[in-house]
Amino acid sequence: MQYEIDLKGFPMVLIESAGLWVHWLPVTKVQFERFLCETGDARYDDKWYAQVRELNPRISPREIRQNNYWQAFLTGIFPYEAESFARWIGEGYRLPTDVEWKQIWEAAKVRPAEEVPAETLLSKLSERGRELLTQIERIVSTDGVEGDRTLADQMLLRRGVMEWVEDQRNTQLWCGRGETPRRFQATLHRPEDPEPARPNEPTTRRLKQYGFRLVRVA
Amino acid sequence: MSSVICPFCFHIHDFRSQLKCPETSFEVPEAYVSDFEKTPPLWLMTVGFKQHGKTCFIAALTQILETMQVWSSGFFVALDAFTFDRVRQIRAEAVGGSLPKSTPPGRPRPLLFQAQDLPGIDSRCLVVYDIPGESFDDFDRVADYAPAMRAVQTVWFFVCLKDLEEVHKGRTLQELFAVYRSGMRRLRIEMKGRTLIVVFTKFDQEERPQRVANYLIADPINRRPAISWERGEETPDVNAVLNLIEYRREMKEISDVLERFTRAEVRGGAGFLSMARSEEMRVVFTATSALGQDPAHDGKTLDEMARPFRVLDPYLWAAELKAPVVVRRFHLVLDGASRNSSNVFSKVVTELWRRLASFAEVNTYFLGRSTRAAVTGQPPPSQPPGILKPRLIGPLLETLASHDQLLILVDGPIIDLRDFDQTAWPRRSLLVFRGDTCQAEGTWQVFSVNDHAEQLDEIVERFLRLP
Repeated sequence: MQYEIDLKGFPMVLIESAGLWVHWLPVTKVQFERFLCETGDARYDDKWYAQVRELNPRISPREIRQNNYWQAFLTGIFPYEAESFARWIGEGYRLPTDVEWKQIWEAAKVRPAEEVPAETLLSKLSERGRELLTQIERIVSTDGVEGDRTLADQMLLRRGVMEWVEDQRNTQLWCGRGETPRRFQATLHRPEDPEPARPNEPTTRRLKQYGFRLVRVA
Repeated sequence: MSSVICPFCFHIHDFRSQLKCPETSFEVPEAYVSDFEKTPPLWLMTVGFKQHGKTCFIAALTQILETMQVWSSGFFVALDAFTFDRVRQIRAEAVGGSLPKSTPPGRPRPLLFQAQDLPGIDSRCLVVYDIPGESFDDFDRVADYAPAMRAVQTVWFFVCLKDLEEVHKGRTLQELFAVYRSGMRRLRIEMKGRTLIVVFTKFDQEERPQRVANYLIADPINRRPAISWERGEETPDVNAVLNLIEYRREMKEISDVLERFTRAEVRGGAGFLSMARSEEMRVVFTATSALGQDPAHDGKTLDEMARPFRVLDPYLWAAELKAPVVVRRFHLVLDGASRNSSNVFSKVVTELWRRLASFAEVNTYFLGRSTRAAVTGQPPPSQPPGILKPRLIGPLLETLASHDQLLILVDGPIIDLRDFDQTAWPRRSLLVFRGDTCQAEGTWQVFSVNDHAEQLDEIVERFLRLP
């Protein structure tokens, strides 16, 4: 397995069959907070973040448990806001398309989980970032997944958050892929569903279960 | 390498696009930046009272290092025009016996030299801050030197024992040190861990201790054989002239001898040593003679050509001890939401900054922003930025050095404060909450105030007590 670090220090993994570098996990609040502190975009102010946190409250890395780990991820975000974040990370980073997400899923679901190569994945992270990823990995590795754990479980492609992807039918539209833990948000969407989830108002109504991860063409 | 510690402001800057220090506007020499790894800086501060031989010493040392170029393919060179001019001036003063010109006001700048591949000496870039001893008597004057005094850990402390008796009637070694210590204390600069290299100058005038007098005369560099290129004589092999391993061993023994001598026979010597050790400073001693003779009867000229003895020793000690620079830095973190009371609050913040700035470098930030609102030397902005950002501190903390200290003035809960409960930040930060906005902050040190202006003294006092 090949890994790299995005331009802000968070790890990505190479999914060769999709030809993409993919964020190891959905984007976390800690990651997004760096963007909030650095962006000059007036939309991302105190009020904005309060709204987002109201939907899915923030949690400190030390407090991450099996019954709350989804609170570490940034959700309740609109797709165009995720795109602002992608532009801040750097050129070439973007949300995946629906097809790409499915390719990532297909590759990751058959690949056994691996021990996280801490030196590669965590070396560029701050102490807090390391604690965050280590804690999530610990929780995820002991979560009650039936059968053998796969890379898809490790990357929280399921039992994570619903992830914004570009709709294949119309590139102006957005849809969702993934699966959420029931205790976070009960939905019947599954990663392997033939069709993605299609929220009614993806750009005007904040949905607490919707987060994102970024990809970059390898 | 392009990101290096600036010799003028002690911050790390990226000098790829320009060589000008963004904080002092002084031009950093290109060789300092490009050779930073090959010739890392050797940070030094000279403290010398009038007539104690500092000027002659610096002139002699630079000359000796230049002389050593003859024995090797190495070189010793001034890195910028300021240093070049200053050395020329120092040499003129040393030769002519004129009094040194007083240092112009403003931010002091160091002498910068590069010593590369000289025989037996580590390749280093010398960054020498020259502080007149008398300036320690004057708070305003010494405050100009505060950033360098905080950062530079190795001090050459120049003392002429004979002049101590004759010129400064009654001022003992202990008293000279007390003046230095008092200046450091007034600036709240910790002396612990610093190295004091006592440079006894004009030691040709001293007959005792005999061992040191003999050592001085036996300086192999001074006693190198003269060669005549006209007669076709070759430069002698450096090892035949100077065995630096043996040289250093003897230099350390001499330091011990001088320490015993100082304790037993120098007026105020025992007190000086006790004071320095009580500050947990490391003290070593050297004995030098920059001229090798007394000036002539007029006190300004020499009867013979100047012959420096053992002026290399303080340099070798400094290189051997390799003390890095340490910068004490405070960060004042303000809450953008305090805009409602901005007029009053702005005055309080400015006063707070002014007080803290006399103890350390102070940068100002607003919560929710990881870039500085005001850099060292700049007062905080009078108005908070237009956009009210979320009260986040993590992205800022993650950019700061682990020994920095934070004073956070806040009007409400900080979203990500708990993320850092188990780190060293709670010990090194003071959270000042207004009125009843205080939140329970676990391990953090919290101070709740009703009126910032009235409780300013208490805020400063509590903050300065942080470890």
